[in-house]
Amino acid sequence: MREAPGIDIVTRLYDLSDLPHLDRLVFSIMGQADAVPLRLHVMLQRFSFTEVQAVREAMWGLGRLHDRASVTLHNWDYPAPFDLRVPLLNWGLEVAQGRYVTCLDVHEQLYPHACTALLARLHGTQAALALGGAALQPVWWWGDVVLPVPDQADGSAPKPVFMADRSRLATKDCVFRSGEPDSEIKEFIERLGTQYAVDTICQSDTLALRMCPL
Amino acid sequence: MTTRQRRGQSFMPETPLYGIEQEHSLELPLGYVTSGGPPRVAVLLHAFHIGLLPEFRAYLDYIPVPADLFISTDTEEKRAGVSACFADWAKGSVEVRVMPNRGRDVAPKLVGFAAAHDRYDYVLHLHTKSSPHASQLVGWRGYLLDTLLGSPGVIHGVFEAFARAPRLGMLAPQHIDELRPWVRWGENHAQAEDLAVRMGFPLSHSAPLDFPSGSMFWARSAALRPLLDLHLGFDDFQAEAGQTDGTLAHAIERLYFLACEQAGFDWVKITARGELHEQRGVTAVSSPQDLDRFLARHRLRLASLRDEARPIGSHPVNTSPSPKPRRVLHVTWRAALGEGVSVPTGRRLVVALHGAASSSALLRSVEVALRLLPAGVYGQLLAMPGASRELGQQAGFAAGADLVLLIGAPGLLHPQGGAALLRMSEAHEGRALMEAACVPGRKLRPVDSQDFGLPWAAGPVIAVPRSLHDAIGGHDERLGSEAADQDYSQRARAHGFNVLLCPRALFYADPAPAAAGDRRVA
Repeated sequence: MREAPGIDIVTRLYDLSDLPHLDRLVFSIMGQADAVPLRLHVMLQRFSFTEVQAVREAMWGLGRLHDRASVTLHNWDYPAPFDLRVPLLNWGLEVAQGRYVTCLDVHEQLYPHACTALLARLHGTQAALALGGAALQPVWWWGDVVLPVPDQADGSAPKPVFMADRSRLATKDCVFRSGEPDSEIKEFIERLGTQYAVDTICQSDTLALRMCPL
Repeated sequence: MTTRQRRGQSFMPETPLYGIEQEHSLELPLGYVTSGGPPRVAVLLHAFHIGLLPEFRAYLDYIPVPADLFISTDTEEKRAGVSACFADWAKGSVEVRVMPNRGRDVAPKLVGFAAAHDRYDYVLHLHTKSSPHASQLVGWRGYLLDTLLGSPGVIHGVFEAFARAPRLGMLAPQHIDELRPWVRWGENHAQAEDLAVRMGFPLSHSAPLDFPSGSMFWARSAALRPLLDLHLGFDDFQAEAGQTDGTLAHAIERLYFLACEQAGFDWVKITARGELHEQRGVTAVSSPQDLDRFLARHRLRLASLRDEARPIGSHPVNTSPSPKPRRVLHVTWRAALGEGVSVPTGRRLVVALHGAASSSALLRSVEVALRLLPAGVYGQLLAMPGASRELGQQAGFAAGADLVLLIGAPGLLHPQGGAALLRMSEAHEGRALMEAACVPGRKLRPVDSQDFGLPWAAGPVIAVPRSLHDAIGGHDERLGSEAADQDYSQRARAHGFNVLLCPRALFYADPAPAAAGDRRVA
């Protein structure tokens, strides 16, 4: 039984080009740590020593914003398997210490109170999974400059954000599986939705913003 | 677009996305009277279509200083026509020469009249441009001539820019929108790369590209030296076969700005007043100081981006970078953000927390941001819970601030926020009212995607430079919040200040914080 208090958040970083987005994601996570302890696990895909150092340096200041939030880097340093999208997520679930876990795309940012809103739904129901709405934001992106594109229609993201209560999930079910490209989280949500109680009250609220680089 | 689809590709649009308004150009004539100029200039004109010469003659008559003409053409019959057209040219000498019909207008000027560049400090490159292959380019020649020679005032403006910026090497007309699809390497990269290596600089497929489309421009002769020192001959150029791309002349056209930079000079774009339908990128200047500011801010250097063109990370499934050129937009982003700008030792940033900005998380984030200021910069935190913004601003400057960062709401300041604002302020010589970028945030006021200009600065975090405070004081708090913001920005602009978003100064705004105990979870 996982007893560590708070929430574990897993995200993947494939290469340094996404570092500015990771920076924003972590910044948004730090903004929620007043209410609940947060442990962010950044799963790196075969980073060199220099690249790991670059991520560590970028996280230095952010990691000092809150005592109740931590950022841990995990670097998959083996040549196999070639495709690490799913293995990185499952490794993240293994290193996560707590009962509550969520997986976020590096291009997402959480709105204030997103974590507490999802956690409150899990506390208040018998659901194993709570879902929250996400919105799309088209952006211009150059280096660490991310600029929202004006007059671009945004809309709801096809994939909601989720939080899982692992005490209510069988271990064999709480894994990500290979599927269509970039659909592993969607598959996870849909599969668990057929087997467990899922709370969707927050799905009509926008809890996260997903950047869509043009 | 998904992460996997995007990974490994250029992150900027591969095809021209922006209209002409998003690259700055200097409007000519200038908004003030100038009368100077060099003692003599050389005009190098390749006259293939001599039926256009009367039009060119009319424009050349506007040159307000002595000008020697070096005119090339390709047949003896045409030479007679050229000579007749300029028989009464009284502003200087006229030399007309028949040259091989190779290398379009480029070879006659850089090969046939190469020696002329040695005798004059300033040259004007022209040719009797006709674009029968593209009907949408009707009017292009007139635009180019209006921009380079449209009146004595236009030409005086060119000379004034050269005089005020000793490292300014070239002034070329801004692209017209219809031409944008051709602003790319096309079939010319391989030949351009060979020439670049011979001139002493590398040229990758992903090298940023801009060039004087139409190959007409004003230049210091010294700025063309790398091209002239190639000592090309007419035989180096392909025989004329009606090519519309892929010749050595087309490659050289794309290398003019890079050669200028290789010679140690900068370049700017110019636009004659009223010529472009879209005016948003056109900058009018009304004083020498305005001109200095424009030239300091908008001179571009493509070469400074070569290092950035290398991928900064790697991934097993990465594809090759796009061979298409990067746009120059990010050059202006870097300039606007103050990338590479050193914040002078002794600068003082004061962060004033006023109003509802009093949470411990905010205080801690500001302390972290102050610890990450550039070396030699002083940072100070003033916690003034409940105080007005005006009071916070006054207290900040009373504490000796060069820049006061006013935070009026709960949230978190990004660790690099203070440093980012200081650098941007330095890049604008302390003459910018700045707003931090609130995240996540979906709806924004319109932001100029070129230089981050805003219609007005608002939101919970704004940065006020001392020069603005000295000029107009603080916000008029008698107005409502939004009206006070708009009023302050308007007054700032009226005093010559920019109003900008600083996209690297992030503020995570918590719009409705509840008491921590209400939501705290073990």
